[in-house]
Amino acid sequence: MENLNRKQQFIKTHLRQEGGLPKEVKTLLEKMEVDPRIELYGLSDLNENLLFHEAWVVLTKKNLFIVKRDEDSLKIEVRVPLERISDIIENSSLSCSTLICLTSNDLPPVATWRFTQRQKIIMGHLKYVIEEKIKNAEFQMDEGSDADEEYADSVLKPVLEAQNSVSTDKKQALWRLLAYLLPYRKELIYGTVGAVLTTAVSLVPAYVSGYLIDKVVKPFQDGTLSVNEASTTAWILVGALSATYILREFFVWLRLNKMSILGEKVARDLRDELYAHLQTLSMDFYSKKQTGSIITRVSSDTDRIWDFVAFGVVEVGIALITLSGLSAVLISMDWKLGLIMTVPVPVLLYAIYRHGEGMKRLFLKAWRKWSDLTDVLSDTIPGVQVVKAFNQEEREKKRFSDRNGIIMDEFNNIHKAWTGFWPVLMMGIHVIVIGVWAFATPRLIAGPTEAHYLSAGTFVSFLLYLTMFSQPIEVIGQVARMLNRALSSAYRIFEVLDTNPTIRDIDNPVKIEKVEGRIQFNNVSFSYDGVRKILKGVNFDVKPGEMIGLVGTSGGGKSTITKLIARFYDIDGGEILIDGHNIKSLDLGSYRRQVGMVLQDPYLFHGTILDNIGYGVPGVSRKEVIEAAKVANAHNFIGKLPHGYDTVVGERGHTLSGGERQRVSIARAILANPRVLILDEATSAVDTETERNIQEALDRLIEGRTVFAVAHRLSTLRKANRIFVIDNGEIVERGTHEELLSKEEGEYRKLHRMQQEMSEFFAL
Amino acid sequence: MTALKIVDDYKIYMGDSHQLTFEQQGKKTEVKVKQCFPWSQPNEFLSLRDEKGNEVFLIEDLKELDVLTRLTVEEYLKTAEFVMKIEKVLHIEEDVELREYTVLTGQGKRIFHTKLEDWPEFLPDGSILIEDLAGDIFKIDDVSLLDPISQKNLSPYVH
Repeated sequence: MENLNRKQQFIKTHLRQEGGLPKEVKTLLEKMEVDPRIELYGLSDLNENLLFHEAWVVLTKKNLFIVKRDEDSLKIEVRVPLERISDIIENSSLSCSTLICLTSNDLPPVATWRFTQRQKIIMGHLKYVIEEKIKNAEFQMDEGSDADEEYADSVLKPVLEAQNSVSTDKKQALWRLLAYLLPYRKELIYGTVGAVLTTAVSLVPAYVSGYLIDKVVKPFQDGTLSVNEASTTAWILVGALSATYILREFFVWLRLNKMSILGEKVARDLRDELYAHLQTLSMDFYSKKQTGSIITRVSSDTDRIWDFVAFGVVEVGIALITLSGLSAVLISMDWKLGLIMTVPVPVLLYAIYRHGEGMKRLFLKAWRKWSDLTDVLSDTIPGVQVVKAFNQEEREKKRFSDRNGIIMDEFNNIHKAWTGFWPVLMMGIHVIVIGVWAFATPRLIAGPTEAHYLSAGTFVSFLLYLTMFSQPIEVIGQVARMLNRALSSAYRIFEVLDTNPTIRDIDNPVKIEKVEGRIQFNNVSFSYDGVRKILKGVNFDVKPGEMIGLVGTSGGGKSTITKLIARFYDIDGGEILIDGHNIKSLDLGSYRRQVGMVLQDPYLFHGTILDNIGYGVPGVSRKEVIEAAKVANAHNFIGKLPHGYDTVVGERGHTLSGGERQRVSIARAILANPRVLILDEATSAVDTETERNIQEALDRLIEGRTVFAVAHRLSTLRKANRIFVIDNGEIVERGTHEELLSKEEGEYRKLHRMQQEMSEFFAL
Repeated sequence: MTALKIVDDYKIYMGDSHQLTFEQQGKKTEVKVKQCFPWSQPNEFLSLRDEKGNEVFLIEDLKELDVLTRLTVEEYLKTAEFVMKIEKVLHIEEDVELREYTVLTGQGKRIFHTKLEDWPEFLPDGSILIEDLAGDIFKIDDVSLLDPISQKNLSPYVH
């Protein structure tokens, strides 16, 4: 519920629209409905004149309602019993889609509503459920489904996919980030002390310089101090100045050293925590986020955090301390001069802020133009063959050159802005200096007995302090940008850390040392998005050691069955039993170790062939690796490689052909010795000769294991004990190859005939 | 039946179920209209497609249709080519990873988001398209006709 409230609040904050179905609608429907449970709803946000309006399309068990806001109240405009609906048609266009409910093809629609793309996902779900109810009046949403959750998830999906789900409270995120510093209190204290003392010590030279003039030089010139006394005092002060500078640099070292190391430790902790958490997350997380985005979070986002911790946290503190320290010192030395110097500071800060805002706009423009230029590069460098083939080099050169010229103009604008601003700002500081001089000069030449007398030493101190003003002002001007960069990275990292794995072990899970391989699906239903059922009540009982072929049309649910066997996802309804135990009760780690997979596009890690074959069995002997490679028909081709088993294969094994990669992956599976084996289109992407090699390897691999083989080419299933034909989430036929072929109008027979005709055609 | 006109040997009309219908040699097909060039030539090369998306007929130019049929197709296109026209740009803010636009459109006020790296697109006629994260399209026909504040808000993104 708390999660739902957060999502609804997110919709209100980010999209400024209702976070869910208004309570009045629920009350209205409760008055009318016998079964008021709302199964699904969506917002129709366009009226027939294509103007924004608010009309809620609500689906209950038996009715479809359209509830429209009219002035300030909500009224039921349409009520259609679902049993009357014969068809639902969708007309989609650029930014407006229409759903039309018909009771008959020759009658006007009973309900029509329009909506923008923002509502398209939820409206797609609504359409699907209505269609299912048209086909089967008893169709119901799962008991566990929640209309509010469905609505919030669907409306937020595009925003959350692009951004993250935690960027709601900047203060909270900042505190959470700073909490990562706590384990390193010692470094933090040293760094902070170094920073504070750097600032404090930096104030000393200006004071000492003034003191030297007032207490040594002037009295000596006036004849009130002897040469010896003046010389001794002057040398002591010069010594003190030297010590101050040495101390200052020591404290600078202390701060930079401790905070950089602290930053690295925090970044390391975040990277470790993030990567460890990523390993626990379920497949649904990876299907929602792009690989690049996840990698960025572990690499550059943690690096940005280092930057912030190492420099940001302390720099800002130092700038504030320096400014307030300077102001305090100046006012205490001479409050009138002090005020002349400190009062304009806020004006300077504001000027820097305004300049920063202006620069932001200029950088935005430059960034946009830069992206135009990189578009040309990312188009033409990978596509250089096409450019050359069509002899378009000159055109591309011109396209690049035009955009390059625009970029130069934009950056020149940026340079004009900052080169114009800083002299003006410095002019402002000079004006203050002149003001100080103008105010101080009459006092400097006044007699020492006069009330407004200003000593030369105090004045020199003031001038030296003045030079220290600009740097902290600059730093403060950049605080917002620095903080925003760090927070945006922190949000992205926290989003991952806050995501809970959907597949988790229960307390005291059952640990099966050796899986026998009996797999039962009892009335299993499953959907990826919570609405569209990919599997609808699938039942089967597979004995240990049996090989099952899964065939059928694409998108029918074959691969989904294999993913559920490996428990990459949890099912919505029914149960899956492994050796009689519910799959959810098993110890995930020990179970998954006994499930092997050979996929259509096998993934090889960057490393040697030896590493890749032995991936699932750390510490395996070379002899065992070679034996596995022999069984997988891989030993021969590996032996032909110049570096043999020590050949390093690329990031995705690109130095090997598809068939070679496949055989390495089979060897990997053989070595892992799984009790349950999943083959998903393992031979579909290779030529006939290679297919034969792989098939031989697979035939050896499947012996003694329970095997599920997804295949389009039926010839690869000749060893299957039984074949399941899957269509639209259901097993429509099952039996041995011969039994299925004997069914006159059977799907399998149709598939078989088509493939035979194809091979005969190519044989001709 | 809202419009019916025989053009050569085919008819295009709005059927009883409010579906655009193409009829040729007695065969009726409910069709959708796909503009081949929705931005550069919206009224030419209109492809009529059946429910599977296969083309059943290509109208080369709306002008070649008689008045009633043209009106029928134009009425259909009103929804098909609908995009939200921006009349005022009230505010643009860069948030974490997202750019948030607050605009006034012909339909009313709307807040929408794009990714930071997604920029407004220029059409050959100088008008501007912005597609938000959900896929909704917003159009500005002529930036110079917007009020000064809107122009200032948009400036970094379009100039």
